[in-house]
Amino acid sequence: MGTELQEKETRKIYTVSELTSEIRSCLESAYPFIWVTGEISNFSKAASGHLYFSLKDAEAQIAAILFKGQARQLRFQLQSGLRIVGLGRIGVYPPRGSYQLILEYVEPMGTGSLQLAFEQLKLRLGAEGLFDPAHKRPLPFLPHRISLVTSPHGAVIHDMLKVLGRRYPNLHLEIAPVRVQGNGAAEEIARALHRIAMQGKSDLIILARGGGSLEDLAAFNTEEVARAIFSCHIPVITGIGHETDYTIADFVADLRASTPTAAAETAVPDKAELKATLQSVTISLHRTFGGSIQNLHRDIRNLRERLLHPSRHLVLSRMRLDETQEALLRRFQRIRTWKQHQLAWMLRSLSPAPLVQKLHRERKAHMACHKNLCFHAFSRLHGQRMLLNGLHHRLQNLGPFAILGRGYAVARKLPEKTILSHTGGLSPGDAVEIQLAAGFLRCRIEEIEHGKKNL
Amino acid sequence: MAKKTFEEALAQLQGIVEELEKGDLALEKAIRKFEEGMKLSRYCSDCLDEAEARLTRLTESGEEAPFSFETGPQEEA
Repeated sequence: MGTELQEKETRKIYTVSELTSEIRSCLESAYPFIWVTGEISNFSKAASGHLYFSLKDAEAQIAAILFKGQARQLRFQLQSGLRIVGLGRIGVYPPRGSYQLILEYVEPMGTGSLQLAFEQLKLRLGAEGLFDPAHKRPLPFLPHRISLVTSPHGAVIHDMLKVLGRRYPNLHLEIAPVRVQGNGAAEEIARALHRIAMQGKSDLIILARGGGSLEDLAAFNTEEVARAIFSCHIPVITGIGHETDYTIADFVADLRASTPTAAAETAVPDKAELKATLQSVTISLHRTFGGSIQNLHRDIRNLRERLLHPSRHLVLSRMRLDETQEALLRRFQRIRTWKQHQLAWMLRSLSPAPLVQKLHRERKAHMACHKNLCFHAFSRLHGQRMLLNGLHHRLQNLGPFAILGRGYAVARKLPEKTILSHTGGLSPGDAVEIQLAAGFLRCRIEEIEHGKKNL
Repeated sequence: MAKKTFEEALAQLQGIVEELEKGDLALEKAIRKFEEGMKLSRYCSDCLDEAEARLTRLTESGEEAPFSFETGPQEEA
């Protein structure tokens, strides 16, 4: 029981899908990349473009398929009975529980070994990176020396020389004569490349050969040549076979030309074309810069005209000095003339004539004043005198002695000489003095008659 | 007594004349006034005489120019 249960527990039961899946991964991982040879039978082309057939030999057969994309790259037709070598992988188709060979590449049997070697080398070198565009060296625009690695005989070298001579006459060329087929050809080519690289006189190499069979081109499919090209620091152009021929050398080369003459065309620019381009560029340069150059010329001319010789400068300066001096002199003379006029005018105004006239006027005025003064003084004096005379006259008329002339007399008692106006205080015998208009009488009173006032 | 000015003397003389012209003075006083007036009149006359004499003297010397001026030769040019 226990063992039965154990058996039950350890027993692995697959479903069909699981089993198929495991088979599939087993087969597909075990045969991912295989070369198979066999004879085609039951060949059919589906409407989709995929090719279905069986590969068989005496004892076995296997289903095979070539998909449309790969089928299109074939250079020959597949058909039943054809013996082929194919590169492919095993694929399992679960719905049918069948396995089949899925082919990537097919070639006819016979040329197959060479082609196989080619493909193997191509794969290996490609994986190493020898075909990598990053390693491609740029070609010189105009090489100063080209080495032609090719056969010295035949049409190829002749055609290339003709093309090179036509495109760029007098180009410096070196021909490195090598065998391009047969035993030792690959070694010769590799040696020539090494030598040219060592000498370093050329800056471009053309590796060329005319068209031929795959066997004829074998030297260019060798690893030796491929590595020689890769290690050569001088850029290499290949021109091998016809347009459809691809060699390993072509893949490694810095540039692949389809034919030897195409390589020659590519190597150098067309001298006449260059010249024409150069000429047109020159013309456009002249046209573009001609104007500005003319302007510059004009500028220089102007500057030169303005650039005076020092002596001429000196002469000009002297002339200018003379002119200025003359101007100065003229100005000075004008000022002097003006000042002279001014002086004369001032002298005239300084002359004593107006002063004398003024003096005369002043003297006249003074005389008038003087006369006036005198007149006033005298007239005032005169007036005073008249006043005084009037007063004097009036005084004289008022004088008490004026009436004496008319017979009146003044009597005074002596000795007191008091004027008598009445008889009081008098006695006969008293002495009296009588004043007349002219003279005095001294008398004695004889008799006194008292009375009232007369008149 | 300080010497009278001419004007004072004249005014006094005028006063005396007017006093005498009223005629109501006693003879004695009138005579004294008269004598005083005559003295004043003489004094005034003397003053005038002296003034006239001085004035005459001044104006006589004043006939000449008070100062002289030397004129240049181009005076009338």
